[in-house]
Amino acid sequence: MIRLQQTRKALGSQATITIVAAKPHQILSKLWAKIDDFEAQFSRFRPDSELSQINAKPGSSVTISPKMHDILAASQHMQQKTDGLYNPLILPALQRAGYVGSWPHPKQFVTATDYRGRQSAPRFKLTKDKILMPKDSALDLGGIGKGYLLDQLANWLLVHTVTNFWISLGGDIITHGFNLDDRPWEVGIQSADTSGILKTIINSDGSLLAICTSGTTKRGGEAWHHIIDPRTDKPAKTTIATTTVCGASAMHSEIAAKTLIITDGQQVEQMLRTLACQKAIVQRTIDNRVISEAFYA
Amino acid sequence: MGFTAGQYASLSFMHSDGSLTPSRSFSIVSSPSDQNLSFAIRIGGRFTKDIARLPVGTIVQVQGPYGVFTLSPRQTRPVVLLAGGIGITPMLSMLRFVAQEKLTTPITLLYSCRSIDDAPFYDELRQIASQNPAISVHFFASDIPKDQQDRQHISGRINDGHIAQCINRFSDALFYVCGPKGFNKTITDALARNNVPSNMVLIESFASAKYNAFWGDWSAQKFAFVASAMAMAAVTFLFGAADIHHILDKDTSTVKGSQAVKQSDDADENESPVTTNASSSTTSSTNNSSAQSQYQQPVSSVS
Repeated sequence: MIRLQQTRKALGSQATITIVAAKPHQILSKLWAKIDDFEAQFSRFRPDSELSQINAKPGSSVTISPKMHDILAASQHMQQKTDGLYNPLILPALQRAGYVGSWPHPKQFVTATDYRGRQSAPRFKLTKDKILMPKDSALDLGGIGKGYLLDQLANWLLVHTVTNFWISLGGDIITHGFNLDDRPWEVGIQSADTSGILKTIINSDGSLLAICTSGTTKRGGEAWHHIIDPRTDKPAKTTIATTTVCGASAMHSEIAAKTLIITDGQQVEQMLRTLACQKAIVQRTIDNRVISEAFYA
Repeated sequence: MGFTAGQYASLSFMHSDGSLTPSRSFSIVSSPSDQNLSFAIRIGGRFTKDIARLPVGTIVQVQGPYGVFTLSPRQTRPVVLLAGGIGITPMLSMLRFVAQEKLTTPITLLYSCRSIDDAPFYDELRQIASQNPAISVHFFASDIPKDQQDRQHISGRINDGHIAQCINRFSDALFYVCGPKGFNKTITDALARNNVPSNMVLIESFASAKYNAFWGDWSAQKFAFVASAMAMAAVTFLFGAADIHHILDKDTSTVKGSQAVKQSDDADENESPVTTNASSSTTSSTNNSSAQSQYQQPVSSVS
C-alpha cells in the first residue's frame, strides 16, 4: 500500500488529499479534476460559472444543471433545518461586510461581481430543472460548498473502493479508514489563538468522520469576520473565536459550525442533534488569548 | 469523560422496573484532573430525591459534557467569580482545578448565600483560599452579624461597591456569574453599571430542571458506568441527605491529549503548484526528491 499526499491551492484556500491505496496516483488526479470542476461550476469568483450565470438574472427563472439542482436542494434543506440561520441568499450582505473578493494567494486578490447594491432574501424557489431567483438578490454557496464537496469526494472514493483517505479543503476535513500500518487517522484541532493544537480527534473505528472548523479569526493575515447573521444582515455578534464540529457529513458539520457562531454558542446540543453531528468544540478569545474552550459530546 | 472546569453533564438512572428516568443536568464539581467525576445536587424534586436514595452499585448514565461556562487553563486574565447559592457548583470545579494544578491565575470568588451556616462547600472554599495565594474567597450572607464581618465574611448582598472594588483591582478581569435568575440579573445589571463590557461577562443560568431528551436516540453517546466496579464517591448531596458515593470512571476515548503538530503554511510561499509526499507501509516516510515534502498531519482550522 502506498500513502500519497498532495497539496495545492483550490477553492480560495489550501487543499490536501491523502490516500492510502495500492495505486493512488490516478485516483488523486481524478479527485483534483472533480475539485476543479466544482470550482468552475459553483464559484462566484468565476464570471463564467453556472452560479454567476444565475446571479446575472435575478428575478428570473433560470434553467439549471442536475449538479446545480443537487446542491441547491441541499441548501434549501439546510436552510430549513437551521430555521434560516443558514441562508445562501445573504451574498449582498456578505459583500457589504467587506468580503467582496477572495485571497487565493497573499499577493493576489480576486474580486467577484459586486452585488452590494442588492438585498438579501429569505428563500428561492426550486423546481426539478429551474431556479426562480428572488428579485434583486444573489446566491452564494460558500457556506455549504466545501462540506458538500467533501461529502461528494468521500462518496466517490468509497464507491470506487478506496477506503483509506483524508481530504482537507481549507481546514475542513473528512476522513475514512486508516493510515499506513492500520493506524487510525488523527486530526488536530487548532487552538483559536493559533498557538498550536488544542485537541486531537482520533477516528478510531475508521468510519466516515468529518471535522469542520469555522471562525471569526484571520483570513489572509487580516482580521476578517465573514459569518453573516441572516436575522440582522450583518456579521454575527459573537464572542466565539472558533467552532469545530464533527459528524459523519462534512456539509452538516460545516453548517453546524457556522450556525453555532451565529447563535454565539447557544443550544449547542440541540444544533448537534438537529444536524446529526456528534461533537463540537467552542473556543472564545479576547485579544487573541483563549479564555474558554468548551467540549460537547 | 474529558471536560473543562465549569461544564455540566446529564444524569439518568434505571428505576426498579427497568425503565430509565428522564435525564437531568447537573454541574460537575470535580476538577478535570480528578480521577472521579463528582456532582453536587440540591435535593428538591422527585428526581433528586430518588437519586439520593440510590444504593451503591446502581448504574447511572452520564451524558456530556456540555456548557460554555468554562475556565480555560490557558487563560491568564484575572477572574472574578460571582456565585449565588447553588451557582457555586461550576465554580467549585474551576477552583479545585486551579488549586490542583497550582495555576497562578488570580481568582476572586464572591459567594452570596442565604445563610453562612448552610453555605455549601464553605470549609473547602476557605481551605482552597488559605493554600493558594492567588485565590481569595468572600462570603456574603444576611445572617453575618455586622460586628463579626471581616475580609472573608460580609453582611448583606453583593452590591455595586463590591464589584467596583474588583474592577479597580483587576481592570482586565473576566467575570463569571452563576446563580438563580434574580441573582444573575442583579449582578449583570451591576456589572453593566460599572461599564464592564459584555464580552467580559460569562453567565450560567440554572433552570429548575434542565431536561435532556437525547438519550433515547443517542445510544452511541451514552456512557454507562457500573458503580459497583468502582470505589467511591461521585455524587454529593446537599442539605441534609446522606452522602451517596458512586465512582464514575472517566471515559477517555474522546480525548487523547494534544499533539504538537506544526501547522503547515508552506503553500503560501511554495512556488510549485502541487506538493507531493509518498510513503509506503514497507518503508518509513521518505523525502526522496526535491518535489516532495514532509507528510502533513491533518489539522482542522479556520482557513
